[in-house]
This record gives sequence, C-alpha cells and structure tokens, in this order.
Amino acid sequence: MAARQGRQAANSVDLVSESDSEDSEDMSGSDADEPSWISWFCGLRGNEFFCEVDEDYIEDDFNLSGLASQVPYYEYALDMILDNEPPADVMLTDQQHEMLENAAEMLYGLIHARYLVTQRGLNAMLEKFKNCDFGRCPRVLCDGQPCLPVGTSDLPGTSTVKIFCPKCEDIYYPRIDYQCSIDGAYFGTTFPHLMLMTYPMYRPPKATGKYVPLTMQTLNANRVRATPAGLQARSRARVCRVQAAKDGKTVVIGLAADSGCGKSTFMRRMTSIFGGSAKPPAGGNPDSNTLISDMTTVICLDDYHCLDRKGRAEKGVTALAPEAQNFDLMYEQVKAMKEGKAADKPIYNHVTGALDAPEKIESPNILVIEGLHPFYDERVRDLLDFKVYLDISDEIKFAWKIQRDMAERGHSLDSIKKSIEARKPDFDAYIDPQKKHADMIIQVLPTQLVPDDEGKILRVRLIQKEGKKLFDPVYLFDEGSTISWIPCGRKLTCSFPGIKFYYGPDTWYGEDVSVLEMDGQFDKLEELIYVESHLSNTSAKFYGEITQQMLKNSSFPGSNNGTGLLQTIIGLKVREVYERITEKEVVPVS
Amino acid sequence: MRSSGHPSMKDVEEIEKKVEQAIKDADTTCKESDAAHCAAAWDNVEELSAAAAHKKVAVQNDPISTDPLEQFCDDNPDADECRVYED
Repeated sequence: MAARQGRQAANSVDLVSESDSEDSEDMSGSDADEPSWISWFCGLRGNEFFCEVDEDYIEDDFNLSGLASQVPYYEYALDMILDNEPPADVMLTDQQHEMLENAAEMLYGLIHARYLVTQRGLNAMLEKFKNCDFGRCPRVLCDGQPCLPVGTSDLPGTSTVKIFCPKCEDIYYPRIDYQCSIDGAYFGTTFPHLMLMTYPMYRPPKATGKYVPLTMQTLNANRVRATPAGLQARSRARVCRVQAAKDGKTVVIGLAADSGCGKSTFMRRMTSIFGGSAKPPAGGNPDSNTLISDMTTVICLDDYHCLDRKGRAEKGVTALAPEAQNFDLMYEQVKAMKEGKAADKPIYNHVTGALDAPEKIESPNILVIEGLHPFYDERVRDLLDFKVYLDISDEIKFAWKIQRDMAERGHSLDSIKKSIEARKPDFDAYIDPQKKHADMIIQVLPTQLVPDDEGKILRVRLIQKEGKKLFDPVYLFDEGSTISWIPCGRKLTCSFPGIKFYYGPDTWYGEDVSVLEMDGQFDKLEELIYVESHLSNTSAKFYGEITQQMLKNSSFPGSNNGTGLLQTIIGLKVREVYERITEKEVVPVS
Repeated sequence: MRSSGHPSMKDVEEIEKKVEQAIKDADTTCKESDAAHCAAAWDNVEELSAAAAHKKVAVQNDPISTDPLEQFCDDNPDADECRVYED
C-alpha cells in the first residue's frame, strides 16, 4: 500500500503540472528514473504470480474487446497501464485516484488472464514455473512439486487465486499470505491445464505414495504402554507368535441365523472383504448351496440334514429340530477341512427337498459354516475360531418376511403369520439358545427414533464379547465408558430421522460384552465417512475402508443402515481373526 | 433349467408353484393333524419361500440370464461379438 501511495503521489505531481515543457521534462525524467507501470505492478509484494504482459498485446484493441464494460474508468486505467499521459485538463480527487488505481489493477488482471493463454504468455509463465515462482505443493507425498496459479472462477470478485499441483492434481492456498488476496479471475480456470497440455514434458509422474494412518492400535490391537519398554515387549510377543504360526491351517467361522434373516447378504459382505466373487462350485450340481471364492468357502449346514422333506413331513419334525441334523457327519467333515483335507459333502436340494449326491469340497483358507445349528453341537462349536449370531426381533422378522413373500402367489398376510407362529416353538427351543455362545451378535430391532410400524428404520446393536484373544471390540471415543452420540448437528446435516449411536459395557448371559448400537439411516456418503472417522478399533486398514466397502456393496439390502455398517465391521474383524491365527497379512481389496 | 446350469425365470416360477401348493397343504395338515405335523408343514412353506426368494435374486444377479448379449455369447463363444481381449 505504501508503494502504491508513493506512485499516486508521483502521479498527482504529474497531473497538476501544466506547462508542456515541464511535462516533457518530467516525462523524460519519469521514463528514465521510474519503471513502467507494468514492471512496477509485477514487482509489488504479493504480485509475484503475475507475468509482464507485452505492451503490443495491450495496444491491440482486439485483445481487449469486452473489457470496457467490466472495468470502471476504462480509458484512464488503460492509459495508466500503458504509461500514457492522461488528459492534462482533467483533475481527479484522491478518492477517484484510488479507484483508478484499483481499476487499473483489475484491467491489468483481466488482460493478464487472456494473455496467459497465448503462446507468449505461456512462455513467460513457463519461465516462472521453472523458477518455482508460484511456490511448491504443501502435500508431503508430492515431494516439493512446483505448482501453477489457478482461479476457480473466470468472473472477477468471485474467489482468490489458488495454486494447482500437477502431481496430486489438487489445489491449495498460495504459500505466502500476501499472494492470497489476488483475484483468481486474473489467472483463469484454464491456465495450468493448458500449460501442461502445451508442455507435456513438464507433467510429473502421478503421486504414487498414499498416506496410511498408522496408530498404535492399527499396528497391533493389543494395547500396550507407549513407552520404549512396552513397545519392545510387544515386538517380542509378535516374534514369538510368528515362531508358533500354524501355517496352512484353515480358519473356521460359524454364522447362525433363522431363515429369511439376511444370512446371504451378510455372507456376501464378509467375502467381499477378502476379494473375488463367491460362486457355486463350477461344473457341479446347479442347486448346490456352497459358495467358493479365492479365500473363502461358505457351506450351508442344511446339507447335513439327515431327514429330507418327505422324512420330516412323515415324522412331524421341522428343519429346526436337532433330530433332523446329522451332527456326527457335520463334526467329521468340518474337522477334516480344518485340518486341510477335502470332504465329500452331501447336498440338500432346497427346491426338491431331497438329498442329492455329494460334492467334493477342498479345504479353503477360510471356511464359513452358516445355518440354523452351527453352535448346537459342542464338538462342532469347539472347532470354530469365530462365531456370529444374527438375532432378528420378532417385529422385524415379520416385516422382512412380508417384504419377501407378499408379492408371491399364494401367500397372504395370514399365511406369513401362521408360518412364523408355527415355527416359533422349535426356534425358541433349539436355535435361540445358541446366541449365548457367539463372539459377536447382531441384534436388529425396530427404531426408537420415531414410531415406525413398517420396520423400515432399524436399530442395530453389535454385541461383542470381551476378553477374546483373537479380536478387539470396536468402540466409540473411550473404551469401557458409556457414550450416547448424535453425529448430526453443526458439522454434519442429516435428513430425518437422523442417526443416533450408543456405546457401552453390558453383560450377555453372564459374560462381559461391549455394545455398539446404531439407530437410523445414512442418507449421504459424507455421513458414513464422518461416522467411520469417529469409530475406534474397527480393524480397517486405511481411512475410509468401511465406507469404501459399503459403497462397493451399495446394492445390497441394509446398505444405508446399521445392518450394513456393523456387518461390514464384523467382516473386518473376521479378517483380523484370520491374520492373528495365521500370521499372514491380508492385503485390503480396492 | 438350461443345461449350462444358469438360473432362469422358469425355475423361479416352478418354485413359486410349489410354494402355493405347500401353503394349501399346510392349511389342510393343521386342520387334520397334530401340532407337530402342522409345524413341519409350515416350516416347509418357509423353506420353499426362502428358496424362491434366493432364486429370484440369483436370476437378477446373473448376467447371463438378464443380458441378451451374455445369453448369446454363452451359446456361441466363438462369435465375433463375443471376443474377449486380455490386456
């Protein structure tokens, strides 16, 4: 500002002088002593980004077409820029003079924006770029990449200039304070991209490094004092585990849930974490219930029915009753696969209701057994490394069955009700008691946020057993405390009815557990990432992994509520269990 | 069922007919028989309803059943339109 006033003082001296001889003397004196207006302007502190526009470019009126309507005092401003003497008979007040200075700056800026996209302009800016005049990218992984100035709008007065990094292709605030107040329209939105298209040899290789947030918890979920001694102890413990590694062993996961409770969706979410798509065995029985992907094999325990549909109808036995299952065979074959051997497993055909010829299943890295009775038999239960139970409340079960079956020919509200009621006694007697054995339980209940009869909005609780060696429970903010959290507010706007979280300790059939609960629905991606960033111990390997998985599977039911979120988290916990048992690292799938 | 083993809407309709029949049988059984047989009959309805729902999803997810091009290529893998390039 001081420099400008100096210039103004000098100008006012020129303006008030009247005699020609004085003028010409002053002029010749000015020319010799003073730099041109353009050089002076580009030399001001904060104006380092500007290049000097060729005078003949400005003198060609064609290049300035349209600017007269955007700039006040256009004629005078133009004269000032070109160092032409203004008409001597015009007297300007100080205030008018200051406005003229600003107009000249704006006019120069707009001419500059047009000049930049000409060949000469690009050349001039290239020199400045090579000289690193625009600053370097502040991002660590860009390694000091020189940047280019860019505007986010071509209209003056909209936004200030930013710097564009060709490596990470993002924009940042200029490094020096004084540069931050320059209007972005003086550079334009096109310039850096045109520059890099004109001089492709200056395009840097893409930023390859990606920052992975590492915390104590990600490195090793066992919490240890952050002292040198603690860290040493932890690294020693890891070495011991490596020496005892059970290489090549199969990890067995059990999933229990009633029919029509979302087991298949859960399976798909879980296997998605490990990559590849799960398909029935190639070239086998098309009615096989088995799903095989790169790392996982999912077996349906219905295959171990010892009574087929006809047999059960004769005896008056439901598929829920233990009398209909061959637990001996189940134990034998799960044990075999856990030990690395293949098994000739029967196939229960859900369409015909008969037992088909067996199929040969090879031992996989991860074996998932899903069905009604994975934890019923004690021997089978002891083979399982991780157990999950899907506990759906009666109202929700009813709502889901209505959604599933109402469109069916033959079904009515009445038949759906009867079906649920007829199965309930056996369900309560044989299936429900298994939930006390699970390591993690997902409970799906009606929402408490609004009165909702249709079961559209869900309250989902993740109950996690404490004190297990193979995984650490997810928590909110402070482990072991009780937290009630509504993320919607100033930082995050949610649509009705919003989202509510709860975290706290509890007991489950006499054992200590931690409960993480979500009530409500996600409406936007930003809600999901916001929530993810506040959860701890999720076993995600990079920031945004949960959101990424949810997006990948956004067509699955439950992708906008707690079922999708908490099932995805369980999938990550399964990966953690696998890594702890096998001491092998699973590379996250993108 | 197509010999290649891909699910089709025909399979879904087959199962849906079975569901309808099973519901009728369950109503009859519950009138004529004891609670245990009644439960077994309705359990059967549930099993078939679940199978129908799974088959529907399988058809929707299977590109060969829904995309006519995929269907054609399945039958004629040598056709010009079905050439696959590995990068």
